[in-house]
Amino acid sequence: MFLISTGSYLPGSSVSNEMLSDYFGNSVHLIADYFGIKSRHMAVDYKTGQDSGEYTSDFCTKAALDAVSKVPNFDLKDVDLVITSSSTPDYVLPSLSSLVQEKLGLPNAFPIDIRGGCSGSLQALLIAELFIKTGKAKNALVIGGECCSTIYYDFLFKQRKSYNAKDLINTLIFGDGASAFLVGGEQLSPDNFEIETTVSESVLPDQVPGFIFSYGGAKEKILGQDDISLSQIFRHYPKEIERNLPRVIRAMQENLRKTGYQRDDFKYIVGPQANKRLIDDMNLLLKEHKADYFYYGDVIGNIPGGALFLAFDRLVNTNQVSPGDRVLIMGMESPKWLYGYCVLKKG
Amino acid sequence: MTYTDYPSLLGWVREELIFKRLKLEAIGFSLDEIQQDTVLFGDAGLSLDSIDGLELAVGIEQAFGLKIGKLTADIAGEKFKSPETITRFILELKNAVAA
Repeated sequence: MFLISTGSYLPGSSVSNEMLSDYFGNSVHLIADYFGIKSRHMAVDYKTGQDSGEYTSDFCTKAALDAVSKVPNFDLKDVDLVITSSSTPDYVLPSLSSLVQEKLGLPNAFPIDIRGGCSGSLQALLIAELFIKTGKAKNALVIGGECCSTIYYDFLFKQRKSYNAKDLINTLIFGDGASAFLVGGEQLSPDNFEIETTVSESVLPDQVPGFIFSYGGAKEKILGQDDISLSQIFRHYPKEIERNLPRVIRAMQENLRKTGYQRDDFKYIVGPQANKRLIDDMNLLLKEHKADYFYYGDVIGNIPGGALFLAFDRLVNTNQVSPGDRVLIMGMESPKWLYGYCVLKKG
Repeated sequence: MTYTDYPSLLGWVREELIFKRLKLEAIGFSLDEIQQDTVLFGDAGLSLDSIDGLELAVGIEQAFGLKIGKLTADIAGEKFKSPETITRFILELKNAVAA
C-alpha cells in the first residue's frame, strides 16, 4: 500500500499558555510546564468560550481536502473508502465517517468509524490496508480528528474564578485539529511513501483504564445532572499509566523486533504527541534506535485521533525526509492498553 | 486567606486543601486520617497521585495568590510530603513575598 498524500487542518489560531493565563492565572503555567505544552489550537474563542461553528467532521473534511489537493490530477471521486478515528465525533450517531463522506461529496464511498484514542489512526490505517490489499477498495482516506474544546471550554470559562486543576489540565493538554492520509494500492508518483508494515495490537486487556472519557456514553449519564464536573467526565489515573505504559512499550518493541527492522533502519520516529512527560518515558524505546524523535505535541497539544498523522504531515512538509528514508510512526493509548505502528519508506 | 500562624494554616491544609479539595471523603477517607505527619504520596499513607499533586499546587496558588512556578521533583517529593511540609512550604512562600 502507498501513501499518496498527507493533509492536516488546525482550527483558529494558536492559543498560548500566556493567553490562557489572562483568564486562569499562574496555574496555567504550573500545569502546562509540568506536561510540557506551550500552545494548542481551539475551535472555540478562548476569550468568550463561544463555538466557532466548526466541529470534528469539518476539521476532518478540511484535512482530507488538503491531502487530495496536493495530488495533481487526482479525482476525489476515486476515493471509495473513508475511515475516521476520533474520541470526539460530532454525535454518537450519525457516525463521523458518514458526515465526512457527505461533506466530501462521496456517495459511493464506504464509511467506517474507529472510536479510539492515540493509536486509533493506526487502527484505521490497518483496516484501510486490509480493504486495499483484498481489492475491496482502491483508494482510502484515513482521517483522524478531535474537537475537544467545545466539550469543556465553555464550561470551564464560566467557572474561571473557581476552577480546579483537574478541570484545567484537560484544557491545557488537549487540542483541536485533524489529519488525513490518502492511501492506495498504486504508486501514483515516484516519491510516494510505501507503507511497508502496519500493526495494531491490544495488550494488557485485563488491566483497568489509565484514562476514562465518559462524555456521551450510556453508562454514566450526564443529562439532567446539574452538578457534573469536568473532572468526572475526564478521569486520569496516572498510577495506572506509570505502571502499564512501560509494559505496552515493551510489547511494541518486541513486535517491532520480530518484523526484522534493525537499529539503523529509521531516520525518524513519529511517536506519541501526548505530552513531554510521556515522551520522556519513551526513552526506553529510543535507546534501541538511532532515529530522531519528531515531536510536535508541545505546539498543538494532544489531538488523540489526529496527532500522529499531523506530526508526520508536518515532518514531510518541512522537507526533512529524503528518498529511501524510513519513518516509524507509533502510537499507544491508555484508556485501554493498545499500541500501533507503521513503517513508511520514501520513494 | 489570612492564615499566618502554623496551627491555623495546618488546619486549613488538612481540611480545605487536602480533604475537601481532593474529595477524599468520596473515596472512603475521614479527616482524622489526615494528621500533620501523614505521608501523602507513594505506596504509604494516602497514596495520592501526580494529578493530586497538581491539584494541591493549584489550590495553594488560588487560595493565597502565591506563585509556585515549576512543580519540580523537589517540591513534589519533599515539600508535598505531608500536611506539615506543605504548611511550612506555604509559610516559606508567604514570607518570601512579604520580604
